[in-house]
Amino acid sequence: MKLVADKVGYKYYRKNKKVLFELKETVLKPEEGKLTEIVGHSGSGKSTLLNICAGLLTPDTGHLLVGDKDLYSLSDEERSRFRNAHIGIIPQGQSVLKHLTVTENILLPISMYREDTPTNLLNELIENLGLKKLENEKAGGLSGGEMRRVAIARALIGKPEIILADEPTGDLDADNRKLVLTALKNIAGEGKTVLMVTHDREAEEYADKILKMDGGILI
Amino acid sequence: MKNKFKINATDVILFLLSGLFLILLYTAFAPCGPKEDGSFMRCQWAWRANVALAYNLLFLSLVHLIANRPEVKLGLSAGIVGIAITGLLIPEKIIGLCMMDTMRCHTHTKGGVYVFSVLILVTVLADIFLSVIKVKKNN
Amino acid sequence: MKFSTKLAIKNIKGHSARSSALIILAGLLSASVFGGSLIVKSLRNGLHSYEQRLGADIIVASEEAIDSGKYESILLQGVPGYFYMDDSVIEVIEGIDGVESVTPQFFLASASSGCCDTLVQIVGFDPDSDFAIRPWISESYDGNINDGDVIVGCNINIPDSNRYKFYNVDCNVVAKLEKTGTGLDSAVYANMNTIKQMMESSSQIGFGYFEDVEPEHAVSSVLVNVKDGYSVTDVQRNINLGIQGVRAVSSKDMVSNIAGGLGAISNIIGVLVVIIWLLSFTILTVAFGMIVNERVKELAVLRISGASKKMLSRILIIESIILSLIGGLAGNALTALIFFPFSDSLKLSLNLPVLIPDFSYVIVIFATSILTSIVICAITSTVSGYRITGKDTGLIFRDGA
Repeated sequence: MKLVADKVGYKYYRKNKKVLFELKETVLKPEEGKLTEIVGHSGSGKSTLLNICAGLLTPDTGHLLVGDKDLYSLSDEERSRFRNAHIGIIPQGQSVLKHLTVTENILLPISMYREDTPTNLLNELIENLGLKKLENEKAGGLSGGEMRRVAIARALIGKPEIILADEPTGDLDADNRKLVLTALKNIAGEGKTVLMVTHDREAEEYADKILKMDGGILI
Repeated sequence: MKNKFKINATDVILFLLSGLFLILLYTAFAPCGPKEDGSFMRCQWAWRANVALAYNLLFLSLVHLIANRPEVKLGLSAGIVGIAITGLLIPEKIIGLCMMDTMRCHTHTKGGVYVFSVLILVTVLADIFLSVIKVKKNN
Repeated sequence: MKFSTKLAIKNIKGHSARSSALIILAGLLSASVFGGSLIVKSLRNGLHSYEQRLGADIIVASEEAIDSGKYESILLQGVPGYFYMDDSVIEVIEGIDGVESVTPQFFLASASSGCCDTLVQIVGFDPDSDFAIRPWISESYDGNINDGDVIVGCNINIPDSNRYKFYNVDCNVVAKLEKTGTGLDSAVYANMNTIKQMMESSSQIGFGYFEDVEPEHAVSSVLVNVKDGYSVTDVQRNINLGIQGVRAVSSKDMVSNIAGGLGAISNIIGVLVVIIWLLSFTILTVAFGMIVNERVKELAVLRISGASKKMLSRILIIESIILSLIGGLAGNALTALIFFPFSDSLKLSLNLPVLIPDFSYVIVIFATSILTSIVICAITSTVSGYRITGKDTGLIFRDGA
């Protein structure tokens, strides 16, 4: 599924209404079947662009086209269902529901709108991401790396065509970093659109295409 | 297998309720004393029976508090249920109270016995429910 | 079960401390409405019942009985008392212009005998002329009240033998009256012949109740009904002016005294309920606000997984409904558990008639108060939820909340 960010722009304001940061009108067309990386310093606008691509941040200007849909012209209900069906998101930091088990966390997108549990895919993800021993544990007791792997499994469980990852290797040790990056590379290899935002130099080795962002402009 | 010693909220509530009940039976819920001629009215015997049961409740709830195995707790809880129900029946059914509903044994003792017996019953039933879940889990 | 409900239940279970605090708050809110309404309604019922049971336009008794409050104590609290005047007043009252009917009543305080007895108010009435007690008795007993028969108020427990002895007179209990919430519930009713037997027996065993009055010609009070078209106040004044040593009081005055006290208590309860409501509402709003802020990341995780704003609101509302339902049920059950067994203590301490409303009314206010608590919790959680769901999820992750 094609993802096209067409001249999307966004401004953050201070409390006194002055502009704090501006993502200049940006065009982004990550390719299907490739792992596209956006690199840049902190505060360069990478996450803002990624959030716009995820349908989580309404741009001030431009359009976001996913397949044949202009995502921001949809209602919140339609956009949410679309995101659930087609976009897998791995957000920054820890993003698990701590009072749910690892399996319950992974199955969140499925249990929202679908009846049947994809048992085979679930087992495969749990196995591949090294979560087998933890599947019935409460997510609150996991380490940072384990939580990140749960977030990846959750992003993939709905078989989305587009994967968006925001700093997926942040605060991970070398082994976990490798595991996560390999997983993303493999997903891209399956013909999916994978867009990753990072400032991890090591991650560049895995990328098919690298874009740089600086001061709100995609270079 | 070594069990970890763990006190549940229901254990503490049961013990506190039983203790408070006993204290109040001697104070706020006590019926009137002996008559001028030194004899006692019927309520005195009902009250004494309830006091005796309250001591039993306190003892069982203390053991319940320090007992570790859910099976033991379950047995103790069953005993507490029996005592609480007996306590509930004493004022009206088993012994009975005095002639007028406006007398102290009706306005204070009976009300107190009802309130605490029901609270203890509810707590112990909740405890039984939780213990059964634990026993099932252990098995 | 739908996802929203399943997740709401898991959220409640997963945060037991937070859930308990909210349950207590919701319980307090519901219990204050339930308890407040129950007390006010019981007092109002008591007043209404008192008004009905007075059963006459004017009550005449000795000055001492009225001025010392003895008469009112009997009616309100059932404190046994006795006071007498000569029955010649009946004829004088009958002769006063505007008087339609009169009936005497006779009050006797029983002596304490037996192991569990206490002093009981015995009320004698004349079945031939009575218009005040008969209608009440007929609600629970339609037979004749023969000599030696007594009817007891609902506060008096009937022994297994069905018999009571008052001043050595063996009495047969033929009926128990409906509750009125007044002192009349603690009295025993008998016809004048039975009362005379008791009087004679009491004199024989040395009770000197009738030192100043001839027992054969003693009455405690006279109830008067006024003819249509005559003013109660005028008739009352004429009795007071025409007969020495007695005091005539209109039922309206007696009721309005009580109504004044009841009004003050209702107001205090009303103010207390409003204060508890405002406090609970404020605390709930702050609590839900804090909780939603604390859960902002959790809600964002749901958003990225595909939850719509509507779904998030639904989860928050279901959570608040479950919590307030549990809190409301527990709070109201506890209130009922304390109120019903102690309602007689309440009556004694307030010195007002208290008559518990019927079961259907209790059920209605039980349900209404829980519903109110649910609505308040749902509104406060929706307001807090709206603040979060109105924000772009991207900003939540950016703000690192």
